[in-house]
Amino acid sequence: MKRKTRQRDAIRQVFEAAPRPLAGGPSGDLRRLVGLLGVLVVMTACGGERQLHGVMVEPPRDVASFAFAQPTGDSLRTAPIAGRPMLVFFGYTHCPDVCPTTLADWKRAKQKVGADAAKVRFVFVTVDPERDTPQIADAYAKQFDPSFVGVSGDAATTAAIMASFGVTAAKETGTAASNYLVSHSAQAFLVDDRGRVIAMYPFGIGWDALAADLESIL
Amino acid sequence: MRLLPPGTRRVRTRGVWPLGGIAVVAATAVACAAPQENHTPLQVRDAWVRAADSGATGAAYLTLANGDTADIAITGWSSSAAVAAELHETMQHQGMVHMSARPAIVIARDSTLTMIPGGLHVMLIELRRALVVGDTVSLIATFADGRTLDVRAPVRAP
Repeated sequence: MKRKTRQRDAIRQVFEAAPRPLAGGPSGDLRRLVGLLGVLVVMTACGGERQLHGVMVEPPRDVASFAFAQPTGDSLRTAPIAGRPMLVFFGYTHCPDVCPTTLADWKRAKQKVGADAAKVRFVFVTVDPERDTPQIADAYAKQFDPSFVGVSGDAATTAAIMASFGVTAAKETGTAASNYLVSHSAQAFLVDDRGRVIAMYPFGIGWDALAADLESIL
Repeated sequence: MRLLPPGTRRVRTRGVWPLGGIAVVAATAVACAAPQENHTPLQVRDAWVRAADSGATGAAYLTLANGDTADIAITGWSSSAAVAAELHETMQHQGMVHMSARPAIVIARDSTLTMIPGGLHVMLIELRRALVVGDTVSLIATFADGRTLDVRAPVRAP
């Protein structure tokens, strides 16, 4: 762990040096580039510990488990299942842009990973249970892939799972037609099969980063 | 009727014409129902709409290039596929995303307005029908001077 911290510090120093203007012109840039390459070579050589493309959560953070009633009458439990990591995203179905883009990215990542991706539990949690019933949330997620699950809890469950993941959401006054909009945390969470968040994927990071990480942990 | 290459959008102009002009246009429209050529200086590219269920919220994306010598302001949107249509912009701030309505947007001369996921989009509120891949959705942009631009956007997988 200490070695990793040192590596990161070294990278940060290299990057932080970069924006300084007039710090030696092209030769300075070149020197920094060589320095960065050196750090990367050292990291590659040390290897061993897994590197993910998402924003790694270190140490991995435990999240509580929750149960959501599903339209089928079953309940979806977020408790860990051995061999089955879980991706969790918080959104709302009236969200026209970020939420469908994220779920479409999941679909692309799943296709890229292939058969192994069936082990991943893809879970969309609505932060707008007032409008999104369990039926609406699940149908929304399944538009993207039939294996995706959309869940809607009661107000208390929704608040509790959001708190556990450190997610916030707020109703915002929309226009007359859109009624209200919801601002919300837009990162997806990768939870390992021991119930720990190991990485986060900010909106816009790209589905290929997620696909590579799923391949790496499966 | 002139065949337009795929991806070309028909454009109607309405509004600020002199009465005589309107009469002529109306007569022409009735006579042959031919679409008018593009009288607005906007070029439309890469228009698409995300597939969505009936009653849901949808989004349309397009690129508008203003090759004119004057700025153009778009002040309204509508679509026969939705109860309402509004231009919105997704903004990110410290990991949170929210949307801001952009009731009017100016496309400066010689510049391009690009809508992409995670940025500007036309929010289609309360879809009147399911938007299925292969379908085409009609979008109308209204300019500040009253002219309109009719965009035909194909539906793509979400």
